[in-house]
Amino acid sequence: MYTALILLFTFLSSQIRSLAEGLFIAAIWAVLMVYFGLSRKTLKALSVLGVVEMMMFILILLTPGPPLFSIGPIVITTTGLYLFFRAIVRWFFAVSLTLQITETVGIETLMTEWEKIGIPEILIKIILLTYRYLFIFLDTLKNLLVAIKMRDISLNPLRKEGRYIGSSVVKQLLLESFHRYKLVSLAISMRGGMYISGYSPHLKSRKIKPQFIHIALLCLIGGSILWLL
Amino acid sequence: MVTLKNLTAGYENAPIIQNINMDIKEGEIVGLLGHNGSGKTTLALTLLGFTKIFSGKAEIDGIDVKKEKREIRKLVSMLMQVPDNQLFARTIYEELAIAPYKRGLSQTEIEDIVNTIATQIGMKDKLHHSVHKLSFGQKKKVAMGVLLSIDPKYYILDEPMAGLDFEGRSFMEKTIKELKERGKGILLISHDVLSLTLCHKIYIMKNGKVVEVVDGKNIKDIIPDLPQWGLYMPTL
Ligand SMILES: Nc1ncnc2c1ncn2[C@@H]1O[C@H](COP(=O)(O)OP(=O)(O)OP(=O)(O)O)[C@@H](O)[C@H]1O
Ligand SMILES: [Mg+2]
Repeated sequence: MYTALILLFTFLSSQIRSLAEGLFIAAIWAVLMVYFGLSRKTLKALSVLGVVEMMMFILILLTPGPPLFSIGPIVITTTGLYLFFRAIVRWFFAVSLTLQITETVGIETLMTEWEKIGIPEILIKIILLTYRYLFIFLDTLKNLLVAIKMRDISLNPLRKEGRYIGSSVVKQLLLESFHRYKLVSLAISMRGGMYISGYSPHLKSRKIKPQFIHIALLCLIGGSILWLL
Repeated sequence: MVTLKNLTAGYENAPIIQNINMDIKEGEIVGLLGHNGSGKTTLALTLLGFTKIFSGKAEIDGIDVKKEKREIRKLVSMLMQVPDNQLFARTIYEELAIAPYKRGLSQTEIEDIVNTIATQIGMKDKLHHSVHKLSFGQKKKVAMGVLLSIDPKYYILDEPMAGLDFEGRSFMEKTIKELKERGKGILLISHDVLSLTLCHKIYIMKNGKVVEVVDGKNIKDIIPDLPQWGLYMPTL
């Protein structure tokens, strides 16, 4: 059920083309976000991923079209700006809700659903590891940033020092989290696996009513039909 | 029995531990003492088939570590030096429940195991707490709990006492003694000779090589030699 919700919502938000469509998605998004209860872990992951997503900024610079204004040699076009905002909006809705649901109902619950549909175990394992890896990565990043701040080093990309440190931090981060990832996989294989199929104390404690999920799904399906008309 | 014969192993193209000969019998506590970077953790990881074996042989109950990693990891488990690498579940309950669940035990049996271990590690009231918010020492105890929940035949304990307070150390010591009584083979890794008083024999490592094997009874005799191996002498 959660999987269906995520898939449908992600698909619809990737189709946002107009303000009205955006508002429709935003309304459902807001209700779901409140319902699932925002967790701090989601926010953290979202902010880190958001930085990566801002790289879409390139879109603004590369898109030809009528110029809106220019800063020196850089010309900002209306089409570029529009594409950029659309990309950010689509990305934001889809990713934040997916993270949110995964965090609150637990990836284990989702994977159990997948298991029931008959998705191969190997794929489920890969997803679980990738999911853990994301958090190991964030954790490693957090520790590195503390270490950098303690040494009073600036990460300003406009300065030579900042760029140098920045690039070595990225390298360090990848090496370090890869190393940890390997050790965690070892820990997983010693235990014979990493999750308890069909068991999620989180789900019990949050008591998410299935009726709610049904209503949300219906809204989405209804909305998308209107959309197509 | 764990047997290492002329074993040379390490990472990618760097052999770290060289020419190691060692054996660990069931019901025996074997100590591994060495300075930082001497290769203790590398040796431990080698027993789990995690490193690259360049030459020599590593066997556990006659099974070749190089060939049968899956089988080996059913026989041996390791308490990792950094507990964050060991713990990956959400709550303490889940940490302790995964291994018995994977062994196919019933819900009541799992609950029993989890409750027994939680009492042992003193976390009965924190079962549904999230793991990453625990302190270092608490994480280490949970990690030891995880090992107990796996209940392998051979235990590798990488610095189990480091970073623990008096109560934590006594818990570890008591647990190790109990494991020995139950006939488990134990490799106890440390850079501190004082935490090796339980051992039957102690291997001393320096720069990737075993430089001395001492009988546990004669542990006092080696104290004057510690500095030459890069280790500190216990003083009061
Ligand atoms: N993943 C790795 N890749 C390459 N070299 C490594 C890796 N891990 C450790 N080493 C090297 O292997 C050597 C032995 O490290 P190891 O972790 O086994 O030491 P140790 O005896 O456990 O030390 P400590 O007491 O600090 O835990 C060190 O020189 C280290 O730099
Ligand atoms: Mg070590």
